[in-house]
Amino acid sequence: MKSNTFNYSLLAVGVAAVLGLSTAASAVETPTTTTGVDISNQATASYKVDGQDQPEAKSNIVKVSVSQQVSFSLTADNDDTAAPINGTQFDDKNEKITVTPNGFVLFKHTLKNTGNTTDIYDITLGATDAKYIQDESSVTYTVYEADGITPVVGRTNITVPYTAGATIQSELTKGQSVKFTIKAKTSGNKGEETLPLQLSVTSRNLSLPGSTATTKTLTNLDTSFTRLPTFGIVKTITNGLDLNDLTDTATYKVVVTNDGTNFSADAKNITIEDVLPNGLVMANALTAANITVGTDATKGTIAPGSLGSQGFSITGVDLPVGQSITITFEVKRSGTIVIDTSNAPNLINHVTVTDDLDEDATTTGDVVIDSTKSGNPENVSTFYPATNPEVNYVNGEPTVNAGDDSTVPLLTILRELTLTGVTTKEIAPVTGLTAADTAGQVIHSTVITNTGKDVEGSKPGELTFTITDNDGTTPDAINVVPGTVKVTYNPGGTGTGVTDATITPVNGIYDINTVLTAGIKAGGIVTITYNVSANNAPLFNSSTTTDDANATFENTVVTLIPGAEGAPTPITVTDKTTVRGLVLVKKQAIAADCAPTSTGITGTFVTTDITAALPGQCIVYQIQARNTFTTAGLASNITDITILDKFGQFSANATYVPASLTTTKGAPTITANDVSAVSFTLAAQETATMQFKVKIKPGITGP
Amino acid sequence: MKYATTLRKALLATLASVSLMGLAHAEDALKMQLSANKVVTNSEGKVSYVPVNTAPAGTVVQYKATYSNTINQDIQDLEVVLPIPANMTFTGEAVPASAQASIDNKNYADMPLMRKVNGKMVKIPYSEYKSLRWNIKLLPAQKSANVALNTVVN
Repeated sequence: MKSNTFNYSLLAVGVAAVLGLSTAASAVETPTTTTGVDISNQATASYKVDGQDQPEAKSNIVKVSVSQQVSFSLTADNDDTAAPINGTQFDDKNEKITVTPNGFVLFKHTLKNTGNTTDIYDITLGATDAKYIQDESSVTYTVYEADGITPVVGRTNITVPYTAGATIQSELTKGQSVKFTIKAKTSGNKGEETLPLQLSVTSRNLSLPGSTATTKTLTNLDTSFTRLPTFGIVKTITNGLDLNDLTDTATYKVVVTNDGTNFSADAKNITIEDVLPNGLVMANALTAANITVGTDATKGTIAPGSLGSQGFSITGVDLPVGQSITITFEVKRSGTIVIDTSNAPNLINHVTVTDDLDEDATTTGDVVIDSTKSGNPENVSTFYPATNPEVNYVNGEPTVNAGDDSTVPLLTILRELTLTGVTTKEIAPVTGLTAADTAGQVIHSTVITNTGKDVEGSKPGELTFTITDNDGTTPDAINVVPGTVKVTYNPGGTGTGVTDATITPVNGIYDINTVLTAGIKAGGIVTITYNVSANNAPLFNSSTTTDDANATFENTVVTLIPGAEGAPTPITVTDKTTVRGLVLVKKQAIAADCAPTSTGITGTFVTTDITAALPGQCIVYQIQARNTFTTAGLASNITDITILDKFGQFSANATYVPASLTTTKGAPTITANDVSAVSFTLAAQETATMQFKVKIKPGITGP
Repeated sequence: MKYATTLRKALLATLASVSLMGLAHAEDALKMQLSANKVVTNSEGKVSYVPVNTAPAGTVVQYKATYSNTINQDIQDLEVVLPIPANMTFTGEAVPASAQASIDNKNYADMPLMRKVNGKMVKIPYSEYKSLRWNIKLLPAQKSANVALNTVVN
C-alpha cells in the first residue's frame, strides 16, 4: 500500500534558509520549512516450485531520504495601486476595492505551492461584515499547473457557495497554484463605507504533528469601499417669461455635475429627465445643440418624443467625477393655464437624474434617483452617508455641499414704469450758462416709479432716458445745462441709494445703470433733475406784445426708454420753461391842465401817437414797470429797479412841469436831465408806475 | 556437449528440489536484492546510475530488483511486485517493459493504464500508479534476472 510506504518521518524539522528560498516572514508567503522524509521501498515476489506456491519472497528494504521544502504563498491580486488608495498589488491586502451600494465586489487571490512537494491546503473564508450577503456570494477558482498558465483538467472554473467559516480543500503539487475570485454581494452599504472580509489558508504539511513551522497559516484581508456618483443638480432661469408678451419664451439652464466626494465615482449611462409643470411646454424640441458637456463627459441620447412637449429625457450620459453636463432649453405657455405673478411661484419644474450603478437592469436596489424635488422617488439618502446629507433648494439658492440640488420657480417678467412730474418753470432772460454757474437757472424734476415687479436698470441698457428740447438740441436762448442732470434714489431698507448723483450721457442717452448698478427695485422711485439756463432770452416771442400769454418758452422732453426683455414702451413727460422779467410800457395822455398836481387827463393813456395836442397844453407821461413772473417768491422778485426818463427825449418840443413827478414805487428823483423812480423791487405780477407832465412849447406844430 | 550440459542441469535441479522439499519452505529458493540508484544523464545523453541515499525533489531514482533462483530447480509463475513509493511518481520507464501496472495494488493491467472519462478512454496519469508487476513463467535454477522502474521524487 502506498500509504504504508510513505512514512513521514520528520527529520531535522526546522525553519532555515535553504537553497536561496526566501525565509523572511512575508505576509504573503510562508517561510520555507525544510524536512527530511525517508522513502522506503521493498520488492516482493510470489512464485511456484514444482507447481507448489511458495511463501512470498521479500527483498531488502532500500531507503532514500528526501529533502522536502514546504512553503506556499497567498496573494491579494486586485490592482489597488491607484490613488488615493496607493496600495500594493499582490500583497496581503485587497484594499478598498470599489463596490456600489447593494452591488457585487470581486476579490481576487492566488494560492501557490512554492515548496517542492505536494501539499494540501485548507482555504477558510473568514468572518465577514454583516453587510455581505453570503447567500448571494460565491467563490470561483481554477487550478493552474506550475507554469501558471495551463489550467489543470477537471479543476477549472469551479464555483462554490460562499459560507463564512467554511473550508475549501485544495491539493497542489509543486508549483501549482489556484486562482480564486470571491464574488461578494453587499447590502445596505452606503457611500464611503468600508466592509472587511478575511481569507485564510493553512498548509497541512506545515501543520503536521512535530512541525516547528512558525507560520502555518496565511491570511489576506479584503476591504470593499462603497463608491457612487454624487450629483449636484442646479437649475436656473436665464431668461424669464414676459407676462406682457403672450408669445414670449423663458430659458432654463440645467447643470448636472458629478461632484467630487470622498466616495465619488464616475457616472456611466445616466438618465436626465425634466418634466415641465402644467402650464409650460417646450418651445422647441431638445436637440444636441442644447447640450454642452465637459471634456470627458458624453451628451448621451435624447429620447425622441418620450415626453412630447412636456419635457425631455436624455439617456446614456457619462459623467466622470468633476465633469458637468449643461442643458439649455426654452419653454413657453401651454395656453391651458393662465400664468400670472400669483401662480408663477408655484410653477417649479424638477430635474431627475437616474443612475443604475451596476449597469444591470436585472439587479435591484442599486438605482440612484436624485432629484431637485425632495421625497419619493428621490432616494439618495439611501446611498449617501449620513455625514453627507443632501439639501434641495427650491428658490434658486446657491448650493453649499456636494450633492446639493437647487431649482427655481418660474421667473416671470412684468415690467411697468411710470414717468411723472411735469414741471413748469419761469426763468429770467439771463442766467448762468454752465453747471459751474447756476445762478438763475431753473431746475426741472421728473419722477420714475417702478410699478412692476422686476428690478429695473440692473443691467446696462435696461433703463435709459433722454432729455431733449422741443426745438432740438442745438443751443439757443433756452437750454438744458450740460452736467446738471442728476439722479436721486432712496431704496429704503436694504440697498444703496444715491442723492443728486450726476449722470453723464453717452450720445445723449442717460443709462440709469451707470449710477444705480443694482437698479431700481420694485416700487422704487427715482427723481431726475436737470437745470435749464437762459442766454439773453427774449421775454416774448414777438416784439409787439407784452401779453404774458405770448411769453417766450421752451419745452424739454424727458423720455424714459426701457430696454431688454419685457420692456414697456417709452414714455415721456414735457417740462416747460417760460421766460419772465420786467416789462416797461410808456403811455401818454393830454392833461386836463398843467398844474403839477393835477391828475386829470383828457381821454385815456395810450401807447399810440396823440395828434390833437396843441402848444401850451400839457402831456402826462405814464411809465409802467411790470414783473411778468407769475409765481410768488423770492426767486421771482425783480430787485434794484430804477425807472428813468431823460428830458432829452422831449426837451426840443416840451418842458418838464416841475413837481409833477409821482411814483408808486421807488423814490421820485428829478435832476436837470431826467426824472426817475429809484431803486425798488417788484414782486411777481407787481406793477410800478412813474408819471410826470411836460408842457408843449409854444409854436410847435403837429407832424 | 550440449546434451551433457542439459542433463547435468536437470540432475542438479532434481537434487535441489528434493532438498527444498525437505526443508518444507522455499524462502531460500528465491533471493531478491533491491537497490536504489540515482539516474544521471550527462550532457551527451549518456545515462549512468549512482547509488543514492538522499535526494531532493525532482531526482530520478531507479529501483532495481535482482532476483535469483538459488536452488537447483526451476521456479515457475514468478510474479515480482515493485511498489512505487509515496512521494514518488513513476516516470513510465520499466525494464522489462512488459510489466503490468496497478493503481490499487490489487488489479494489474498492461501499460498504459486506461480508464473511461466522460465516455472516452483516457490514460491514467503515472502519478496514480502504485506498483508494477512482472510475470515470469520460468526462472531456471541458479539463474538471476533483473526488473527495474524509474521514479521521480515529488
